[in-house]
Amino acid sequence: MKNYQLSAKDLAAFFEKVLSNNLRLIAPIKVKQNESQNVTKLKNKAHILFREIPSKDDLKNIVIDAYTDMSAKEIFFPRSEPVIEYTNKKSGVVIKDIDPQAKETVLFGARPCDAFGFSLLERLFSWDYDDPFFLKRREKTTVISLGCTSPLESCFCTSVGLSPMNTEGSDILFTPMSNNNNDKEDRYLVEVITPRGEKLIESIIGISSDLKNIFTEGNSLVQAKAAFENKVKEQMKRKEDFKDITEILKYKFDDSQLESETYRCLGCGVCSMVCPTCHCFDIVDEGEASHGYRMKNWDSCSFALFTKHGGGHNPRDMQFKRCRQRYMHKLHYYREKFADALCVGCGRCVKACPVNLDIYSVVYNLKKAYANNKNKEDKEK
Amino acid sequence: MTTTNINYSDLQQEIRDLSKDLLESKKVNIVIGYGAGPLNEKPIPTFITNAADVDRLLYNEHCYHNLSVYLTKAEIRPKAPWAIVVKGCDARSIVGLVVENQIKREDVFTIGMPCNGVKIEGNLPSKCVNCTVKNPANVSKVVSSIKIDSSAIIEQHPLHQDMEMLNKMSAEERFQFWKNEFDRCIRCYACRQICPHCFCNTCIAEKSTPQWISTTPGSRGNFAWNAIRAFHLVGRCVECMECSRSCPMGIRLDLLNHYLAEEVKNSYNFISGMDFEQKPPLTTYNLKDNQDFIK
Amino acid sequence: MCKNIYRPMLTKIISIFDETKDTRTLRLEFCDQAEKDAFSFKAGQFGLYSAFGSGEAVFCISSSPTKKGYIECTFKKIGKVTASLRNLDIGDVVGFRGAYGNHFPIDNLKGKNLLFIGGGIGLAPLRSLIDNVLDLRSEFAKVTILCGARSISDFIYKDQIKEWEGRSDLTLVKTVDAVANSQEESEWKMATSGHATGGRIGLIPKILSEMNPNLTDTLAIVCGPPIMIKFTLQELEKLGLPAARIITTLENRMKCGFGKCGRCNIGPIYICKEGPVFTAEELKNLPASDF
Repeated sequence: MKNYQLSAKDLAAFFEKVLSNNLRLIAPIKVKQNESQNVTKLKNKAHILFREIPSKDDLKNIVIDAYTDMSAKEIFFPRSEPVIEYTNKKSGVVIKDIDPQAKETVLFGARPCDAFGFSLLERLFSWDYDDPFFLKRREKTTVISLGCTSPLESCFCTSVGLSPMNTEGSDILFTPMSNNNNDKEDRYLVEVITPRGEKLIESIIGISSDLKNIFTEGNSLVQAKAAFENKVKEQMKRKEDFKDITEILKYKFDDSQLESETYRCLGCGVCSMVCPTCHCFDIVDEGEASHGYRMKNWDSCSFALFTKHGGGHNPRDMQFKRCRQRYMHKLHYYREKFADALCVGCGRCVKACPVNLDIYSVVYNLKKAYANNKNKEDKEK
Repeated sequence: MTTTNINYSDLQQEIRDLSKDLLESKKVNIVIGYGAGPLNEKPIPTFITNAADVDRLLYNEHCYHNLSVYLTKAEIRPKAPWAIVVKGCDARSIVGLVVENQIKREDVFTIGMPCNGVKIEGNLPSKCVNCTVKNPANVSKVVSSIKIDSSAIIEQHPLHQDMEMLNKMSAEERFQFWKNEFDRCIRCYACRQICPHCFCNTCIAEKSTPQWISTTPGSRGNFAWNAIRAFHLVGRCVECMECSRSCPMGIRLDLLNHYLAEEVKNSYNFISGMDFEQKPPLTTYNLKDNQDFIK
Repeated sequence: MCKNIYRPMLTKIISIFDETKDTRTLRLEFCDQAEKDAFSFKAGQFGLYSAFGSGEAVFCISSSPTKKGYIECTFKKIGKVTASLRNLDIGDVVGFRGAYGNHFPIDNLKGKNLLFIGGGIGLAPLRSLIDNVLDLRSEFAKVTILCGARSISDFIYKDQIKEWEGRSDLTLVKTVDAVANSQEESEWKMATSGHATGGRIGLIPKILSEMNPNLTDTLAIVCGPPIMIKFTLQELEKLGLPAARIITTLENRMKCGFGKCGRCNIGPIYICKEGPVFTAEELKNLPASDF
């Protein structure tokens, strides 16, 4: 696939072409909320979320140098969506299918970890039964990811085998080379990764000679990117490799350490809601018996009612069992079924947890204890 | 000695010494305090059951969690009697829990911390600005002999301007304001789970026969959920603002709860969590209660 | 990829059977002829039944695949959906998605002695298989049914149990956990019909131990409340039946039925896709504290 370079000042021209091509553009913006009049100016949480950019005038709202609070999974798997519409009248019941509203979409600004998350979710939503809502939207969306040049303290993508600039799951990857000290010019390396990405670039450049001039040959930057990528990886504070945690967890199910590590969990669902790969959902009817919608809503394994039987029995009756499920699902079960761990190291759950529960440190501590134990055993032998 | 300077390492040592005594003498089974967290400067709720582990306890200005929420959790409740590290604001929650018969006063040993404001991600939260409980009241023991100078109270509450803004709005505008806020709600229930006063075994949001609140994260259910939770907290909420800190969507729960707390103060001259003898006005009734609102 | 996997088929209630004061069986017929013709299932599979406006609930299909033209479900009124399903009348419409999950390995049962053990409403999934076996009776060796309930009135399929008692080609033992008084006790113990002996009193594992059945060339199929399954499996192994020859069916809370909603797993195993039917040997590999 081709590599291009694009000057940062020409990014807007690219977006304009996306919009004029009648494509839906989704990108991170700072979402407007009721700002506080607070005398202390208590920092209202800045809400960077993925939203549709409806017109040229809104392009200025796109935020490029920050991380979103919610992942972009909402584009494919919204927090709530109808899956059928029913009408129940004397003449009988009529069920109408819901159109997944899958429009040709360009998703800009997902991070490489988010993009990999899409491919993880795709495995689940196409596991024997194809979920048309997720898959149709996925099929119609071209993902343009934005390489990370200054990961946060909570980031740990390299722990799960990814990198701040990995390409899997993205159709096109934009890497802001200007953040590399060696690169004087404010420009992006544009790597086209999939045929879908190629199609988008071709269709955009194809219709405009101006764009032909701004998307110039970029192969010369590829080497610089590799070096840059290594440099950024080096800067990351959290580097513990998660690879062998799966094997450890297999034998840790009833280990009291998992309980003590998660003892402070309060049982809210923040971690699941902000997670790019958590996909558990609930199915409920909204409406009356005569007319309404069957909804598919986000749910969380942290909630006490999640597994509670109608008869009262609850297999996960204590909070640590629910935390255990979350970690086991992500780092053991999913890997067993779908080859990769269900965690992309974005660290959103780490930042959002009200009691600072931290999947990275849980894994770190489990590994440390396991290694100590093993050392002791070896010595005894 | 009245001061605004706090030597946290002294306070920390006192917590450790006291905890050691309490555990060794078997006066308590567990100490709920703060310990080192995984990220810099982020202490975490920490549970000590063994006197040998008290050095895991720490204390500094980043100890913002209101730990009293743990007392009614299924894992911790059976471990009574507990000792718990509280700031003046957190101690109000304990009073509330005792007054509402959720815990027995003799089951909890409160280790009261003098506090001149906490830092949440480097910022002073608004609840600390006009704090009247910098020197905790109603606790089993106040740690250290220092007295925080609390004379620097500003006349205006930090949320005063927000309140003014709400009061100036028409009913429709106000409705729209709150609808905008609640529309963002993703129903993660962090507000409920972190709230010491949301102790119901089965929350009204979880009831399905009949179902009072739609569980779908959409306008209708979100408004009902947030409004009903606020009403349930009227006169009980101590404004520790843990819910607004925890809300991942930045919903102005601080303002909502403060608005209602002001209503209670003006209508009943009642401030929650200040007195072991006073029941929250909306959970009691009196034949002499004003009834002129019934028309 | 166009098919909406969340879309239920429509069925019509053609009969209602009240099993106990809170448990009911609905017989459902597919409204659409093409769907009716295309539909097939195997004993042990389950589906999601919906009352529109209340939502979906998961039950096994309790009728036998040999009974063509309809399916049945048996459920206890415990929540929002079951209450709404109970309010429906003959002719009313019920949504159905399924059949999902694996099934009882009926081909492996052929030629073997079969011991069915069902407790309470756990008899429902067994009934699908028992009827299936009885409709192909000559293909199986000895058939024994041990069924129990909390009290006499808590038995489901009372008429059918009577019918089974009348058959000479099977042995039926029924037991209750307790009786209300001595009069009820004597009546229950005398309650013989057909070839069956009188009713017993005691928990299923205890009765099983007293029966001390000959388990050569036998497969046991067990279903009931979690606690009953646990102790019955232990008892069967004590009697010498290897875990690989004990089959059970599990139920966990489910929403989707096809491995996506994420709540029914025990350890790495999804009940809805890899179950609900397991051998006791398979269960041993799963973490006991996740049940």
